Amino acid sequence: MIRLIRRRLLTAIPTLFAIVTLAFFMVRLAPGGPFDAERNVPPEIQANLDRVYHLDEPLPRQYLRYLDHLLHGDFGPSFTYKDFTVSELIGFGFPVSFSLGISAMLIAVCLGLSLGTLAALRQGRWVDHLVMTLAMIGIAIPSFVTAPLLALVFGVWLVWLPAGGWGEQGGIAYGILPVAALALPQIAVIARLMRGSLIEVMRQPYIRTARAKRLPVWLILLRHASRPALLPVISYLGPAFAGIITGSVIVEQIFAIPGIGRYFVQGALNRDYTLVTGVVVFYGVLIIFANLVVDIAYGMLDPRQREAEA
Amino acid sequence: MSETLALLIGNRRAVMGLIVLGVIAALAVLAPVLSVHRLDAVFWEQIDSPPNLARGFYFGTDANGRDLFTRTLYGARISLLVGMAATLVSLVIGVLWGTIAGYVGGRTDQVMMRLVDILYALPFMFFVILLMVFFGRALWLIFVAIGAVEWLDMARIVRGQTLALKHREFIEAARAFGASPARILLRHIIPNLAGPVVVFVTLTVPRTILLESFLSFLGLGVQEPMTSWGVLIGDGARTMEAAPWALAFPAGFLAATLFAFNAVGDGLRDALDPGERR
Repeated sequence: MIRLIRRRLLTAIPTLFAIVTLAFFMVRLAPGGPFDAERNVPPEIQANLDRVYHLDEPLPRQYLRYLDHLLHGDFGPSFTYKDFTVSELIGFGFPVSFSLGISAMLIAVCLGLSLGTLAALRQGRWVDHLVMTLAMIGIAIPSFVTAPLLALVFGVWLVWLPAGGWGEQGGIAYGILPVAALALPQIAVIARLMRGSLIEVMRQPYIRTARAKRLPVWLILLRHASRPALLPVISYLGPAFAGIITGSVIVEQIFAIPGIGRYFVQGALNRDYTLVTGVVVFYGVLIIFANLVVDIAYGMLDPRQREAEA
Repeated sequence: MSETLALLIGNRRAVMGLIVLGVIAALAVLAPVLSVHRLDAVFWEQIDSPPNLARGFYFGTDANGRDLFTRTLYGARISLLVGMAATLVSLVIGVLWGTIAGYVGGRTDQVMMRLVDILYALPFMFFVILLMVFFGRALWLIFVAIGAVEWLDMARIVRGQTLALKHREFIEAARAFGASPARILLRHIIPNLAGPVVVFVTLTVPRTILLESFLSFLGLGVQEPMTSWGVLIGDGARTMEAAPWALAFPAGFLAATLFAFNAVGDGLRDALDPGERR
């Protein structure tokens, strides 16, 4: 187990390094500078600006400086939100994005697993067909279509929930529609995965034995079938997490929610180099961390992997 | 192959998917013939007006008074074009990378696949956005950016298949005849990858179409006066209270296309994979 964690950490470091390096050089090598949008400034002021942001130094020097600051948790100043550092902006946005993402993830896992199990146990019956058809639709309709639709139906026509915004303290009512839009595609994928793997597991001889002993279905599921059936779902959780983060970029934009995703899009449209690079690096760390947790969970659940490590 | 075809035709969902795709492709190709109005013609008295069959506004008009039917069909052209071109890019990179890694083997294979693992963990969507922001928003760049993201799975699948093929007798025979590695790859290995690659391509096209729409929705993809389903959905979402049809039609086309590609891909996989046959 410890060897597994160590090996995963060892791949996480080059990955992280690749993210930082790629993000840094892509931004610097691109044509145009961060202050191109300002009115024609006198050369002295331009030189001053460049000096303040260290844009006058040679690239390798800037890169090392950026790495050094990153290691101290400093993403640099934002170019467009002039009075804020990127770390501050991420600090404002992260709690909001985090609460949205975690709720969506939890709901997706709970609903996806229950629906998948239900469909597997009623394989070939109408419940199964209904769940699988809904899942196909859920996969085919992207969140940038469901989000405006949800806002239109529940926010504008029925007026049950706010169609956007985040309220003062971020009341629960503001979160329901965005979380639903984020969770729907993941519910669909998880339900399909769970159904497929549970059907496979329920065909195994040891399950037949358990059935022959007349164990109740819930006990078979809980004690014998759930563990192996969950493995494919667990290994999907990494991509699911990445999907929810990507989705939140769109969903925060649509519902006007002040999360990281919104800063990212605004930053991208305004060519705010440091902000965009900072958010990419931040997301990269999050995704790497999530994959690490998923790998460890998988290792703990899968006896083959546990024994191979021992 | 004919057995595969028979199995595919026997799959009702896959056939439905093929029909839907055929219709949408035909609409896209025939867009200039079918549309009554020009792509960029503005009708000042027709802003956000609902579908009107008599005047040729089959899908209504958008917030700028442009005909949505025309724009949806032209959007289909761009969306399908991006989907196919980006998939082609990912196909070329993935097949070359996978066959070389698999055929050469050893250290080369290890290094190449390790790189794929590292790239796999990157938050790619964000790099595509970075690319689009900093290097302008040209159409070819969209193909390349999306293609560069989607080749990883292809490389893995192709490598696995190559490993399986590598020690078969006909490859040994070709080697005994003195064929060069490049010739063996191009003439003997790549043609035999067709089955799994075709399945994967049908599943990659909808993913690339989705990615393009995602970018265009945010205003980072296809730029005016060109249009794509993502652009239309983005515009439609902004005016959906006044003109729900401006969201409904492009969104419907996009969803139908994604649904159809997935249905065909799943059907092909079932037809080609003997393990799934019952």
